[in-house]
Amino acid sequence: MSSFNIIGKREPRVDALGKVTGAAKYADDYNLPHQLHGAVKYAEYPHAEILSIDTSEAEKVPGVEAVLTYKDVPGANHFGLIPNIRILADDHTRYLGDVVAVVAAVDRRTAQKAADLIKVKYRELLAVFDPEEALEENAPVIHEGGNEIVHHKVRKGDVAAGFEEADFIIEKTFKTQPIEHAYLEPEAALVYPDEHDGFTVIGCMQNFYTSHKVIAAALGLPLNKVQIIQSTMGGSFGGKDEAATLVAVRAALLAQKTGRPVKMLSTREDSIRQSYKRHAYKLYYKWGCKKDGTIAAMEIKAVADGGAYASMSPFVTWRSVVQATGPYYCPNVKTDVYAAYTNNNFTGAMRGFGSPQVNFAIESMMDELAERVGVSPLQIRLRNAFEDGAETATGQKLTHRVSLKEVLIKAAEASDFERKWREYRSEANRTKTFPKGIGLSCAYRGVSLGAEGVDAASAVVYVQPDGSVTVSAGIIDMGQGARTVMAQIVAEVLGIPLQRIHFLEPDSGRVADSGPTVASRGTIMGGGAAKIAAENVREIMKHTAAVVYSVSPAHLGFRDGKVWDDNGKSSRPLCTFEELTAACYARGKPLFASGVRHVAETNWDEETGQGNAYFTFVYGANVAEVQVDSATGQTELLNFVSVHDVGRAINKATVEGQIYGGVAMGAGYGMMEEFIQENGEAKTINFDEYYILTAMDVPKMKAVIVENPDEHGPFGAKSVGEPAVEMAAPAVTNAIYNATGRRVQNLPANLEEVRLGQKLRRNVQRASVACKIEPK
Amino acid sequence: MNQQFEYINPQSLDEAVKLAGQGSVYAGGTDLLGLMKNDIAHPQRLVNLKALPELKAVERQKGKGLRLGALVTLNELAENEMLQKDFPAISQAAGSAASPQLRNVGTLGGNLCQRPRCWYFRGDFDCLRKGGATCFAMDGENKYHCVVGGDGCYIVHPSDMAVALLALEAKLEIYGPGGQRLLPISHFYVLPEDDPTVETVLQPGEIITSVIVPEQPVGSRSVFVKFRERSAWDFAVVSVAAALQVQNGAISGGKIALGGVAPVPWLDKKLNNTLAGTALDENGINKIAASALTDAEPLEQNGYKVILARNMIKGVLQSLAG
Repeated sequence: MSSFNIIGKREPRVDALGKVTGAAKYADDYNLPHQLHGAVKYAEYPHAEILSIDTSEAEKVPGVEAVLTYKDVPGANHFGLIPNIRILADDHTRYLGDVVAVVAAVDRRTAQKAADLIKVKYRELLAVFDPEEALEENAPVIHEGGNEIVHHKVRKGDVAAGFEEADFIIEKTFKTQPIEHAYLEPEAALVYPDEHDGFTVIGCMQNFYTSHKVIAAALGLPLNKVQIIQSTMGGSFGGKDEAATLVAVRAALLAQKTGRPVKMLSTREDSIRQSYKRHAYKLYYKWGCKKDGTIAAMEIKAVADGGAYASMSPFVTWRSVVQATGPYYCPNVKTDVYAAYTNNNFTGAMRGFGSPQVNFAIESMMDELAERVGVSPLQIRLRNAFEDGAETATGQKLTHRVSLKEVLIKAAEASDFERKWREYRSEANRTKTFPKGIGLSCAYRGVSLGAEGVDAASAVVYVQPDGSVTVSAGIIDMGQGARTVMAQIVAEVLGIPLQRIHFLEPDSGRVADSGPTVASRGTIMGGGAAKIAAENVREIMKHTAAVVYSVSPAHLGFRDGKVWDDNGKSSRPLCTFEELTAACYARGKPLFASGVRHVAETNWDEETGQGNAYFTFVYGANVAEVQVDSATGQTELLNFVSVHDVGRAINKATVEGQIYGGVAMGAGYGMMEEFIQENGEAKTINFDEYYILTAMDVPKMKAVIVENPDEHGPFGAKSVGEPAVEMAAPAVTNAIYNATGRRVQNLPANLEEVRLGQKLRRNVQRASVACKIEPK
Repeated sequence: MNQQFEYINPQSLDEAVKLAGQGSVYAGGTDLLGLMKNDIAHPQRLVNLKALPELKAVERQKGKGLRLGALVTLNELAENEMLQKDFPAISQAAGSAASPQLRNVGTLGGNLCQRPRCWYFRGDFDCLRKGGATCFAMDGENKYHCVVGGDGCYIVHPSDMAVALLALEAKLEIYGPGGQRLLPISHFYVLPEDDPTVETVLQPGEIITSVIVPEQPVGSRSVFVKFRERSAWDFAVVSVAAALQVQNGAISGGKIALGGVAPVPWLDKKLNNTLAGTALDENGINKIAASALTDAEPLEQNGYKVILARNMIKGVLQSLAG
């Protein structure tokens, strides 16, 4: 596979033109005649029993067409992995983003006015905002069966014996904060009744197969009566799963009730208030280490704040438990990861999915170990790093190329790490007003869903009679470049220019359920499916060409828009791609094929936490260089190097785009992002208060792509979307340590943490309190 | 934004003043629209000032100083070369506000009349400033609130321009139903102890028409620095503006104003009394910094602002000395 035509090229993104010219249609750009507009009535207590809901005043408002409460939901009002998310709150409110009722009216203003007139009687209940407190015996119970959502374990070797063997112990506690996805486009959906007693939903749901099932179940309709069309997506980062489904299903209920098109739209404030966040974690790490810098035992406990509903907590924390010990050898491991219900915003999928939290702890611990042993952060990692054939904490033997040392060395070389690290830890640097620092981190990541779920994806390739191509895929593009990557794969297989390929909007009726576009599985699964589909079409074409030109199908090549006879010694063009297409159709051979990508088997034992968790892994390393203002605590990012083994870069430019965006997001997590809640009330509900890095805050970045092709991926490609984000934060905090000699154990490393060594905000998770939002 | 309003384009200042009595004046709209959206302002009428050319001038007359029209945009102030050279605190303050998009529409007058960013004031809380009974920040999340001058209400004033103009001892020309008046900017803002529901002394119908900045004495230097948590589109955690005269290595006159520490742009008395006659050497700089905010009474979470302000004053003085 030495020469590719399109794979690896920096092809412009296939969706770029529409997005920069404004032609791309996002969910809110769709409108229909006679459409109504929805509005919501929020819960007024983070935890309360609902005694009664009086909608009579709202119904009287002229222009109001429908007011719905949970009683009006004809089908299932619950959904989710553990189905306890309420479409409309029924017996209880569990967080302040719960919606008690929805209104449809002739315009948004009327709908909102009516929603404000809905009167709800509550009986206040004690609320709990701290997951550890929620797990205590006498804590207020948020869901029947108790507040523990899940408890995952990994047991390997004998930790007690390991600690006995150890020369010294490092024990630290870390805390990470909840953060908002901050997608550019807030949730929106337009739902309209169609002429066949069904409904069509246009919206920006990331995982539209899930939305499809939820909406059909809520409306009490079979799946084939609900069609989901996914609009162009303005970002998601894992955030438009249940959050976008909720907006769409509420619109659907109103459309069903009124028989008219209904638009439901979240403002930024609605979006931040309602949507789920990245889990806050409290992490207890204890390592037994030897003088030579190796690790004899790790005992780890982590507690995740699941918020009001289970959402993806069981899966998010499962990835944490699998990866909690990092890509390092350790014979004795005991890990426990819990998720608990609280009355905070619920938490779920977000780019990284349970890895950014544990990576922050692991990589901080690794630097502490380096300090104790007296070697550099690079040396300590090289001493402990997984190599080919290593066995992970879950007992999985790594059979792919384990490139951890390669990425570490490349990251160190690209950043002049060893020299700078020594220079910056000197007294001369640390006593300056503006000390500099450099920090290293690395991580490994299981690709795709792993043993947490069924893993298959589909695509359909259709070569039209004129030789143009349409592709339908179950893996969607939310801005990450999936379409471009899949188009390049199809173009490579068929030997045609990228411009000849057109994508159809994702549609629930068009491609078999391909699961969610999550877990960095877009390229390896979606791309894999597209490759198989294109190969299946090419097979049909080869058979026809063999007959028409009397050549062996094995000798046929497809490239440069032509079909070639490559019979070993010479190549000669037989015909153009269009001519062969025409020949196929003339012989009654339509060029339409689907491809399904399945994955190698994974397995898992719940009790011991042993098994082959993922079918393959990726490896990456980050280096951050910072300058700290010792007078104010402000940290400036100077340089960033991000190295990732992606298997094969299908498009180097989109890989770099993922890396740059990942660094900006991951460094923001490390330095300033924080979703602040006070007794369940969201305080940071727009970007004036919720800080994400701006262009002014982003450092100079260098992306280094490493390619060790993997047998599981199309052309050897693996993943980069989440790896890019998951290890940036500890690189930054390790750099702050290098500059100041002080370790940040609580994210984000904002000015107060760096300057004062503590957070000023009181622990929001104070004793359980009954509380209420002041009425206007 | 749940109500209807009328939108009027007056053709003269007199007409604007007459109409503004029962409505809100509208310039860049960057703050007002947010207030309307958040259900805090409910104007029946918006009086657009953008059609009045007399509010858009930047003039400088020998001896009389600088006159800046209230409708000059922040971006125009930031990019004005004369200001950059002779009144750098003004262009620095303007350039550090908000984001490029907001600076292109946000105006000087609007910046001075912004309403506070307190998340209780902006949120669904019936707080003292909105006519309620209590300040929720006092015992709530108060990391960004004031450390001095709060009395019942603990907002900070969000304007960057006001801090720079206070150090430069600017005056405001105000036009209203009662005619014109000229007011030092130090008298423009209202402390909560006097009235917790307003930030300025503007009466209904009154409009700031221009800002007069006195010509600075020879040897004067001005500077504005702003500490914020991200490098763009952020309000000041603490800001410091200094307009000082320096002779023979010592301060001979001028003022230092602070932002982000009080409900109004803040002239700390002890700090300013320490300036004149103090040498700009290490001892002198430490002495001045230590004299700042000695009467501060921080809330539970914002004591860091005192340290921050003092360190920033040191930095400002070091830059002026160097």
